[in-house]
Amino acid sequence: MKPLKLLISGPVGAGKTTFIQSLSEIPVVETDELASENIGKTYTTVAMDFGMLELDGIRIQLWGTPGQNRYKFMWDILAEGALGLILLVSGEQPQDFIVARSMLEYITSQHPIPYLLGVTRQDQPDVWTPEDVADFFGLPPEHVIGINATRATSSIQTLIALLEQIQNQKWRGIP
Amino acid sequence: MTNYELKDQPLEIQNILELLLLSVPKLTGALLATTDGLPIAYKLERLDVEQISAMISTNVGLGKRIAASRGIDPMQAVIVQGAGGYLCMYSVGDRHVLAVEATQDASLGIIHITAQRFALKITNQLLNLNTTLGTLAVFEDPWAVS
Repeated sequence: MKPLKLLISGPVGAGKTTFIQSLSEIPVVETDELASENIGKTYTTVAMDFGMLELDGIRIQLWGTPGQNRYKFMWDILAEGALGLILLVSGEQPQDFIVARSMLEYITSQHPIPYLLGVTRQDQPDVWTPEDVADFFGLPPEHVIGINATRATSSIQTLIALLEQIQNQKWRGIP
Repeated sequence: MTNYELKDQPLEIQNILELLLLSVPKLTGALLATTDGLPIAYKLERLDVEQISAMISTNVGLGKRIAASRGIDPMQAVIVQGAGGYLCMYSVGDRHVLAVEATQDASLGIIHITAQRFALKITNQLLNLNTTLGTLAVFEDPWAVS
């Protein structure tokens, strides 16, 4: 069976690389370079992150994009053949919501694939909840999920929620 | 931390790029950008500089990763060869990338040797620009004629 290609996108600092690292069963292929802008971290992805895992017998490939708008061309390149999109946004950075919204619109208009909006940093106090973010984005609540990267099952739950969107039924793994 | 605005290209770097373009026949353009895709200085025509800087940084970043995974690192150059010419991309220190554009009848070997010499010049110049200390680490030019 062909592996399932999933796209992981979102603004700078949303936690795309961390999300892929938390799920991948192979060493993640990273393209991190020193950031010369003040983006709240030392390194930033310039080409892609690539990770793989097997979930209930299904091979899944995770392709992470760079976050900055100047890397828009990579979103299109990596979205080629993807069957689902997880767009991550930090619940601590509401100033990024507008950018995240336009990324979501851009990618899903160019590549109409099932998507899920993941709101990261749910372990932090004063964080935006997935319900609040769904309201703000005007998205149905089932399309928005909270992610707490400090809990091992959180990323897997996100993945399963997206697979349920793709299959349009409760996840039962491979029959 | 390097953080130049596009409007104030450092004159020293522009001069080095100009010298590079004069040093090799058939060169049509040169650009220096950060490894995370921000343009610093350029001598290029008809190009969206911000867009091409991002693309070059992606290509060099991926090239570094490929070189590392195949055990041929540190990566030195990535080349795009088209029917209309070349775009050669070089790693400059830890934080910068140099791109050189040439027509298809240019000599790739001469471009390589010259561009990598200039990459060292640029590294040293950037250290000069960024340091406030009196002493500077200077990289040796392996091709220097003594």
